[in-house]
Amino acid sequence: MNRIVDVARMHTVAWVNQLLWPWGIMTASLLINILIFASIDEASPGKTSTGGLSSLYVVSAIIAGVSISQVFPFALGMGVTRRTFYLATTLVNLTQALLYGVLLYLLNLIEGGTGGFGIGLHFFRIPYIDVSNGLLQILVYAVPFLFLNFLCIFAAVWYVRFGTNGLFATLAATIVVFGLLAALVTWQGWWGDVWHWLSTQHQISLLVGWPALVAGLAALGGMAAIRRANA
Amino acid sequence: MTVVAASGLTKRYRDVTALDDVSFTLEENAIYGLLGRNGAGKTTLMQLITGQTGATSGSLELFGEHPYENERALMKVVFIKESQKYPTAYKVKHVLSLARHLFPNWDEDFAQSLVDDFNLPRKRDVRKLSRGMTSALGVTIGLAARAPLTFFDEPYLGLDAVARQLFYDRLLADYAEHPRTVVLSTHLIDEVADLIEQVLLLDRGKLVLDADTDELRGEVMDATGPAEAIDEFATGRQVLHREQLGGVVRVTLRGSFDNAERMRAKKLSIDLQPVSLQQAVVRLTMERKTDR
Repeated sequence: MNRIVDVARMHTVAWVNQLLWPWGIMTASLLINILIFASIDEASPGKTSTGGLSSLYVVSAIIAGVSISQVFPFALGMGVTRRTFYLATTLVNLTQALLYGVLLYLLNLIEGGTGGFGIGLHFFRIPYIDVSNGLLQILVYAVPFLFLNFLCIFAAVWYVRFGTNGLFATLAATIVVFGLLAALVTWQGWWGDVWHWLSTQHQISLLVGWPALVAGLAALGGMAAIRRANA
Repeated sequence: MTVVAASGLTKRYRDVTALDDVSFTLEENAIYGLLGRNGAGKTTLMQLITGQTGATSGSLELFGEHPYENERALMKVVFIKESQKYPTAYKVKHVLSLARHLFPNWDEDFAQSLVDDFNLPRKRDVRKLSRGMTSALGVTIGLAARAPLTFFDEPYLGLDAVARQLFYDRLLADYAEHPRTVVLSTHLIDEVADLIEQVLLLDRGKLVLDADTDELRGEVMDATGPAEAIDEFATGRQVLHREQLGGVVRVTLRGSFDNAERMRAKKLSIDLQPVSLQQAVVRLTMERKTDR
């Protein structure tokens, strides 16, 4: 376990980059949104939601992917095993998702307490993902990090192991499979059933349950793939 | 104690055989020179031993265990290579602080003194270091890690002569105080000739020489003299190289040269000269080429 924590430092030692970029970009997005919505007079009710928060998730996912392609060869060079490296990476991403979830929940509370930064802005309290339970809200914020990061990590591991061609071939194959599935659903006229299934899913299943399941599968897939990867 | 034992080790990449049926052992507390031309398989061999990649066939033991994904064995190894990549976000101090936690025998004072000796800027981004500075950082890690098995794969690229001498001096001084197994892979054979105790020579994936450096020096000689005398003297010895100028012939011979043989050479008016380690290695490698 100590070794895993030592290796985890490989991701956090340059923490300024790890933290500053995602939160810096999100802060910029927040400030722009506040400026824009403050300059719109009498914004019509319900139209003050914004998707600026997604920048935080996207930048975090990019950093997670890049950290594999950059830190993995270094770790291997320092005599770290693939297994230890991957467990350390998982530890960092789990901790980070939880930490970010808590931070976003605090910002959610601030937004609520200040009446949407004084202008009724919904930057953190976005409709549908705004749930009443505090613990649940943290999970709702945290799980999409895991979902996106582990998909990115999986893709990065695939890249490290199979190169550019391997990554794009897999991407192409994935597009074909999902395209054929969509064609099948259209051909059979199953879309109605699909929407019905989605709409009957509990909000928490859609926001936490299913993304967590996909994240878990991607994490396991990455673990399996990295065991035979060479830097 | 045997540190590394390889037997029939082979590594193939599609149509290239990087290592072909290589067998040898590395013993504890010795400095090895892993020599050979570019593409001879030196880096591949070190990658196999350090678990960076897996062998196609053959057996390999690192501290008595299989190296691939073996934490316990790999923690006793440090592998400094010219091609080591560092993450863009790292500064020199980050790399040093990570190494301090990763290598059990790390000596922080020694590391800091090396950083000062090499004038390494602690706060500079690693990716912005010059070629020589990057090499100096690798050398610092490799020495301060004090790993029981230390690999240096052409660690000197971009290092000036003064810095290289500093590296050799520090390596020898620290080795004397903390004996360990060191493998130096290098093209600058003459520079390390006094350092290395054992020579491993790879040529096109095959191990062509595994010899004690001093013995090898005594085994390979240049002989200059009249053509007839040389031909007589060369009988029973391996001729690695031959060049003729008029009636005078110079050959590089491999065999035993005891006192009686030296006397005999003198009587035949043959001038015997020892060759440098580098010359011996070059001749041995080139001789194999003309074999085919």
